[in-house]
Amino acid sequence: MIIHIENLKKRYKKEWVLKGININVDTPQIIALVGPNGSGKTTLLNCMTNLLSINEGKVQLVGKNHNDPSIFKEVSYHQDNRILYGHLTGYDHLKFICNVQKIPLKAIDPVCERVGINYLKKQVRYYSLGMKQHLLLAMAIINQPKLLLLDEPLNGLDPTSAITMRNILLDLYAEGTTILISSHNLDEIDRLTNTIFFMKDGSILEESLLDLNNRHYEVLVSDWNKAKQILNEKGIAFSVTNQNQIAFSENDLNLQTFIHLMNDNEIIIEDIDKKKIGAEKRYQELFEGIGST
Amino acid sequence: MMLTFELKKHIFNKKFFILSTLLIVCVLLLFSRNFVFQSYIPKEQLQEIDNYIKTSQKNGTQYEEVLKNEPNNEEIKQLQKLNYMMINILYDWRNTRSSNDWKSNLQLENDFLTVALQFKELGGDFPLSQTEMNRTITFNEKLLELNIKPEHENYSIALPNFLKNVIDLLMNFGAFILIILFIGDTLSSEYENRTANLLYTQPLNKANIINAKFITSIFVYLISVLLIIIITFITTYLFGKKGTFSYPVMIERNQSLDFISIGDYILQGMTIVTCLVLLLISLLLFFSLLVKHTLTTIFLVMVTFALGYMISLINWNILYWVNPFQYLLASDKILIQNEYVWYQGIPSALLITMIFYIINIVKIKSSRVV
Amino acid sequence: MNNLIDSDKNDEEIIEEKLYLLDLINESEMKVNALKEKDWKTLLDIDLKEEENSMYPIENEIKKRDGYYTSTWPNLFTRETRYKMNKWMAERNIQPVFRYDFISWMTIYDIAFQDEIIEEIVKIRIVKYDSSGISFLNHVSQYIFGIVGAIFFLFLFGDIVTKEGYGKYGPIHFLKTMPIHRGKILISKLITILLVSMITLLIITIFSLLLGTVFDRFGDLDYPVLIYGENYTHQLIEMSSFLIQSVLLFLMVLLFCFSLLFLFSMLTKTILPALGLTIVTVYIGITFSENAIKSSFSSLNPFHYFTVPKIITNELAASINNFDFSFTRGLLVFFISSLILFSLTYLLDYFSIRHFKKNRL
Repeated sequence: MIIHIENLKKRYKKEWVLKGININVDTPQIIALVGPNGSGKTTLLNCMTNLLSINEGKVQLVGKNHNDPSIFKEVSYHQDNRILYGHLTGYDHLKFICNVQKIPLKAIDPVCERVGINYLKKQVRYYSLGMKQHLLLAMAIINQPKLLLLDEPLNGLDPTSAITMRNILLDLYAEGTTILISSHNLDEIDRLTNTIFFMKDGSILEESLLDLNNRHYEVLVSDWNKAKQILNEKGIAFSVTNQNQIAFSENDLNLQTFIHLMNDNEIIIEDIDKKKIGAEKRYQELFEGIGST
Repeated sequence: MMLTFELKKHIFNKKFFILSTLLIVCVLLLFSRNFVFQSYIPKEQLQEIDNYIKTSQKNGTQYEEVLKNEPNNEEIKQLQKLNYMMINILYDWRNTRSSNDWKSNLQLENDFLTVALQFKELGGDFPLSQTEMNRTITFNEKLLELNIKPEHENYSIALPNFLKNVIDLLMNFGAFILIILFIGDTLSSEYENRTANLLYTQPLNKANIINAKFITSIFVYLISVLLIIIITFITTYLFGKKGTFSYPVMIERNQSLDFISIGDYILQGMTIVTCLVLLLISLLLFFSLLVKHTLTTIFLVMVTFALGYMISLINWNILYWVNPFQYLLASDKILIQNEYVWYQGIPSALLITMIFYIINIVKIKSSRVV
Repeated sequence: MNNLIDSDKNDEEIIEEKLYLLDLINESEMKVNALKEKDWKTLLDIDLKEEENSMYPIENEIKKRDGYYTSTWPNLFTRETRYKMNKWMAERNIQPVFRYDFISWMTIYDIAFQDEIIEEIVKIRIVKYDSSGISFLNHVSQYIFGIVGAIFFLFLFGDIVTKEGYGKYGPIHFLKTMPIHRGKILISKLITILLVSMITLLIITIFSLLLGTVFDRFGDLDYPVLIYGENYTHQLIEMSSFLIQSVLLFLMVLLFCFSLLFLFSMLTKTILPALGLTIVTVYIGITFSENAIKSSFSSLNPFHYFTVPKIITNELAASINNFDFSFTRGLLVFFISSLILFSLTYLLDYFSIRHFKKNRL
């Protein structure tokens, strides 16, 4: 078991911030942790890595108890940039990790090249936010971990760096690393993973394995009022966009069926736009009640 | 590897550089003050003799008045006789003061004080206590015996004496403040700044964090002491006097006056200070683990030491063995050894240090960042 | 009584001595009765009469010695001040703080003692214990109104400036993007901590008075406090005036310490060095100043004014015979020093921003 969390509960004074989290991951994959601010994502990651104590439950990472320091030989945690020592250089931080992880120092250069760091000799206090994020990533992947936990790694990254990070994470996944990433950047999440845990108020609402084949269509027809009428008579779920396109999901109505329906009623189909249901859409549905019919 | 990382964190810190510079500046300022005051010392001593002369003259006037009315008052006659002797010696002393004949100076001072003691015993009024006079006489005799020129207690520029001044500052709260400044936030700042998260998410035995911080703190203390000693040596070599490490320091042992050399005093002082510093480091780490906040940690440490020191003021023999906080103002422990010996509390200081060290190691294993 | 009388004396002398001893016994009985009935006026009147009828009345002794007060305990100043204090208490029917007999009073002019035994006895007996509110408050203030109290308040407000994050990203960036003058930020902080200090002192005062009043009595606001004057003169002031002056001077001590703290906070930008350097500066300032107390400009050195009670009572001034040291001068010295330090702090803040802007450009 790479991640085994059983009924994890955490309380701050009288308030429960994690209310019985269960996660089981036994094969390498990329998992996203998504939720509004204050849902408990960072708390969950900190509890998993024993930075915070837990009140109830069990946490095992890479088959070991989470409070065994030796898990960090195989588990890396990309955290908040405040963990960096301002008066030390980037090299000092990487050297420290190499010494602790018993990795040869020559591993530093390839990692820096991979991540895109060429300012190792500068003191960290002179780094911008993006540079610190790069350094944190290098520190997290230098030991080629089996499990990589990332808390908001895309903060402060420019588009190029975000793409670089995405490619690195995908490469790591291809090499067999399980990645658990907490992020608000839903576009990037969509590009990275198909497994999303939606968190709200300390609980996991849904473990969403988004069906990539689940398509959403927006079709421009010659007479959208008549098309509306027909679909309503059939009792089919749909909506009308701002551009007067008929929008429906593959689950509700097969495209071929729709085309036949329009043809039978002499409605000309002018344009078909195919869209995937992504994290953002699902997020809106779960947390803002937008969508459906 | 934790130790090298820790050392680098401290030594390459701007704070360490600035504090070390300030330390050097302080020692230099202290020496400059002493150097400047060299011209003031003879004036101060002459002023003192003049004050004694004035007092004796006033006494003389009083006795003359009394004898006018009671010419047969034997007590006053005796006092007057002694008073005249004192005045004569004082004038001789005053004249010798301006010369470099320190031996004559000391001898005359002793002669004066001996007569003054007799004067006081007969009921005469003089602004010197018998204790003070006896101490001065004994000290002067020792200097004459050892053939060592006297140095001013506070403004000496001789190496051993100036070093003693500096060590005295360290012994009396100085080392305490020094350590708090240099490494007071060594662990608490890790929690406050969240850098502890980096240490806690490494495959490290957390006990190594305590070990590394403890050793680094000792290292920083040793560097600062070395710095002080080196600067002292350089300044006195260049601008001061050689002096002698056999210079006597008067102590009170078993209700009687005794002497140790200044070298011994310095060694004993540094031993006590070092033990106290070890205890301080242990307590700093302990309170840092407990509260994880720099200001509160230092406040608690200061309160602990203050309370411990107040307990040591209770006159109970067992406390001299078990209370390490008695060494907060360490110079007293060397200068007055009436019911105890200066090293009596050292084993307990080291034992308590070890106990807190072990507590710290156990505590950090189960501690979290918040 | 017969055993006390010297048998070598003649009958007349014996009778005289017997009468004297009888008087002494009567007096002691009166004192005991007065104590039992808590008749403080009678108790003090007996003491005053004793002094007036003494073999060596004070006024005669002073005239004889032509202004020379001697230095062995009890010197004439000590006797004189004790007499005056007892008179003050008798006139106002004030309960004396025990111990109050003649061997439990000492002044700074008592430089030496006849012998070590007398010295030991006196030094034990001058320690006074009283649980009345005013007395206890005075006792507490002796501890607080000095370096210990200053350090306590420094700890209380140690991070007032550094926690704004000067020199790095912190709340100060928010304040500086508001239409608020930079100086106002610092001044408002200073005023706030002074106000909170005053409130804290008020709480301590109320608590001390309450404790004393509940377990004993309120005490006497007009209890006499000795103020030394030049050339062995002196005056007495009421305890209430003494306490008010002490509070005022101590607030100025705090103002000075806070100004130092602000300066070091602006310089170092982190809590420990700022607080540490403040405490070290105060400690070194006080220690080194002691050695230079007799220099010409010593009364302008703020570090001499940290022992507040000794400044108010002029004990420091009398001990070095320099009456430039006074309560009003202390207030002035602290005020000007604090102003200088505060201005330096402001300038530091101002120039750090300009330097920052210059580098950024």
